[in-house]
Amino acid sequence: MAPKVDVKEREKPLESLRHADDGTVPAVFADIGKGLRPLTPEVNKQTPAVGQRVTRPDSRPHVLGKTMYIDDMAFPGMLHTKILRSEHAHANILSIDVSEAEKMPGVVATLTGKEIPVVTFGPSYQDQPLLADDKVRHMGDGVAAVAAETEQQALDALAKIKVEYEPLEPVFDPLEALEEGSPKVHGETNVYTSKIIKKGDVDKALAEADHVFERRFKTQMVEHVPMEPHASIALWEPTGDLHVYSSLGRITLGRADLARTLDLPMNRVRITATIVGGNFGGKNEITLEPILALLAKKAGRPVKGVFTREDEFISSTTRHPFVMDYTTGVANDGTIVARKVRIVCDGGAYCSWSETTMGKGAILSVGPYNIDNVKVEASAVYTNKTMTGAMRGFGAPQVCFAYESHMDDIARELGIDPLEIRLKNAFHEGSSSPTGQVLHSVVVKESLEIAADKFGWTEAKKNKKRGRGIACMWYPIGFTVLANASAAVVKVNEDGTATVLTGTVETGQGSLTVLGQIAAEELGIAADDVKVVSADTDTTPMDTGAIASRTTYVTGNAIQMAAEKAKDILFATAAPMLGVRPEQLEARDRKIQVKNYPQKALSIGDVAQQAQFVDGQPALGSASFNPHTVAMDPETGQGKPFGTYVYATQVAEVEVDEDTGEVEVLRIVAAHDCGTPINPTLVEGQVEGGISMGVGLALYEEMLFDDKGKQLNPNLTNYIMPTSLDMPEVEVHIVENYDPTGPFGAKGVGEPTSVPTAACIMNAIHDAVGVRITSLPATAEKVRKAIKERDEAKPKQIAS
Amino acid sequence: MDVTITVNGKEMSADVGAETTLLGLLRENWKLTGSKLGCDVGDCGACTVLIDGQSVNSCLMLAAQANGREVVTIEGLGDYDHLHPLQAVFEQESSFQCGFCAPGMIISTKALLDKNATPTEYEIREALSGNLCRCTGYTKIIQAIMDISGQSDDDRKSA
Repeated sequence: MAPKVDVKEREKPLESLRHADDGTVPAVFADIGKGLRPLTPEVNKQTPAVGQRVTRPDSRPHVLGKTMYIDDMAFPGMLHTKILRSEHAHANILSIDVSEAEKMPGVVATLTGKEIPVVTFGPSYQDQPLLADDKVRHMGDGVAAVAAETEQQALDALAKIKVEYEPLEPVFDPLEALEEGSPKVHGETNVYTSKIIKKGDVDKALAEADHVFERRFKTQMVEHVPMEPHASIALWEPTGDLHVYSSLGRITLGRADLARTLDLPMNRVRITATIVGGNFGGKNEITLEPILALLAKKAGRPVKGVFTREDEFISSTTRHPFVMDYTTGVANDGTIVARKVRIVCDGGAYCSWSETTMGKGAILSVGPYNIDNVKVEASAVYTNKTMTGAMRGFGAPQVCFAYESHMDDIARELGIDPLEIRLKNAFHEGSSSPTGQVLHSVVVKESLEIAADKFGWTEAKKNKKRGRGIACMWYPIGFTVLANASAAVVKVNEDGTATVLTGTVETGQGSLTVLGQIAAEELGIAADDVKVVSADTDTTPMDTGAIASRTTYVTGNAIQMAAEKAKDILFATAAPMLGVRPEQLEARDRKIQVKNYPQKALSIGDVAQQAQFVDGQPALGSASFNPHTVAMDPETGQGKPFGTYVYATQVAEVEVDEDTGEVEVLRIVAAHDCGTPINPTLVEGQVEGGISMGVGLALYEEMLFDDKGKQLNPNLTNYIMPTSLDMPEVEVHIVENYDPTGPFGAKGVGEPTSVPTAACIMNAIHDAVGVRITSLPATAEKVRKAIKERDEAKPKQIAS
Repeated sequence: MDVTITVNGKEMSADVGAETTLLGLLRENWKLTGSKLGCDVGDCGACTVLIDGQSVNSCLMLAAQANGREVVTIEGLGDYDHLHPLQAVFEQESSFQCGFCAPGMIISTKALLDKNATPTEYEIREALSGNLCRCTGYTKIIQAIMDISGQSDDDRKSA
């Protein structure tokens, strides 16, 4: 917890301002501000910087409402864009006629897919059109765009666009899409990527196992729901260069996509990302940007595009529904001897991040357990539904729900405590993963023990209607084998402060705060002494982006290395000034000092001044980091797909109303490993937020479609995400750990926080009412139905 | 039509269309962009403002309906050197992540505390239930409000 706010101090001005008559506080800042000083966060000025609960540098604009998101920006003459979307889930486009729309009041320019130099893009396969030009594959496909003086005029003009379609037979169910005779979304087959992982002899081990358990699990399609919808502004500078302001979370690759689709050299394309109003994986790809650029070119004016909430649901990426078949062989003592998993991922209309989601899902699907005999077969298939892509956890919440529900079934059947069976099988330091990777900094057992202890796992159940459930997980940091480097530049200024340049984007997690703390720690200065400049492709170095829980680990490593290089220059400068060798020096408490002789020291500012202005060798370092991986064998999946992994356990307590099937999550105790917590407050924030997303996945959220492929609930009225009333009490514990491959021992924490939540809630429901929910979400209707089936299956009591 | 509204203590006038929402008037005409547009149909609460002390989704209210009334937006609470106590406690407790919901959250909190200086945890949750946040899980927001209303963790548990 943050240091307690001095309530009396805070209440004093508040009280003095209350109106005597009604007790309300007037809210005119000229009055209310008087006598109030903003808190000076002392911790921001302290060294060492790592481990401090530093206040975020972007906090002031956020609480004042002064943060400029894209929709808050305007340029002279700026136009507004709206997109016409498909009426069919699957159809050939015969013609598109925009002539009537162009005559509508306020309309300045229109655009169709045929006018885009390279119309398709995608992170793995370039199968996704910016605007569909020959075929639509789901109802969110854009077919034409209009730029007009006002949003309303653009909307009115969309109604005048005539599109002729030739409807095709659609396919919506991923298992049907696997069948030979099914309609094909692209080309010859709907299966567009698959992965196999093999270890030991799974069939033999299953045949010899004391017990074999089988179960199918299914998950639903879920939307990211960033509070800020996707938004961009495109304008052409007088020099002829394109400048795009965007809510993108990955600008280096965004610029590559813009340059490629528009056929422009990269140095003529500039993306400036703003503070992003929530990402969660949904803002990793270009959407509107090239469309706006071309409309701006045609109109000769800046063009803004902001997704409506409906656009957000129907046309942006979503979480993959998984169908997962588990077969597990177990010995009498609870040792898991074999596990076979088959996963089918519903990719929707386009690949997007399916390859990564399926790959991570497959690798993680075995669970954080030592199992000698493993076989995983995973595939991703196209359907005529909203495309699925990157979303917090890349398949991990889906498989964790399955392997941890399955684990509880096994424990229950064998009469073993759920905690005990997990501890028995859990990875330990040096365990070999299903891909044969030797694991380090493994703390899954510690997380199980801490979460169970803080929850009070061994205490007797007090309330019959209540249940408790446990789930643990493992999760990798960074991309699956794929290169995902980050570069960084660190400059030390002549007053001893420093400036960091990074291409990553602040999407709400507080990454810039953490990166600043890492630079400060390496330079021996405080968090407030560092300014982090980010997210401009013209001025900041390349970065793979705010994705895959990689920023602290990958970008953080690059920043630490760059800061070390800058520090080496300071040492080389200071050594003759102090009459020692550079290797005798250290940077500490804003000084360059001789190790063990702190009285022999110079201020960093004085040394930087000397380096910069006298020696002509500015204290500036640049570096790049890419996690070390080894490609996976295509036949067996053996390899080292990730640099490192984190581990966590969550324990939930729920209350189930047997009459209605309603589930209330009362409490979640979470124990998460992130290596060194660079900023514990921000780690807690990630865990709390991840849990809320997990609660939504577990109980409420589901994108529903009708039999034509039209979404039934593309709005926040009928798509139910957790509110403040639905959120349980959350207790966060950070598991002590240190990863020697991370910056100051840090790993990452963003995605894993929402991985075990649904699993532990499902296990708690089972504990409460004895029903196993095998498909998410566990709506009241589903739980009630399961309770009814449970009651019908019980032998009838003989009436007395 | 002409509307005159007292915004953050200052009387302001504009000529607006009949369909103009209060949010549109604040953001587009008066460049008060602290109130956010997250859904445009009153589901998310990012556009929350006070009208005569009541919290209202400004995307659902027509500008004309606010004529002659007193509106308070996030811009009215504090400035960089003079934070409103609520803004200070939100900053101190890191009660935001992406920040998009923060202005609406702070305004809804003000509406609550103006009427009820020592709300229970349930009353806080209820007062914020119209303000969606995808980042924080609401935990640090609730914590901040418990802190500023002078309640200890023990009060919270018993509430």
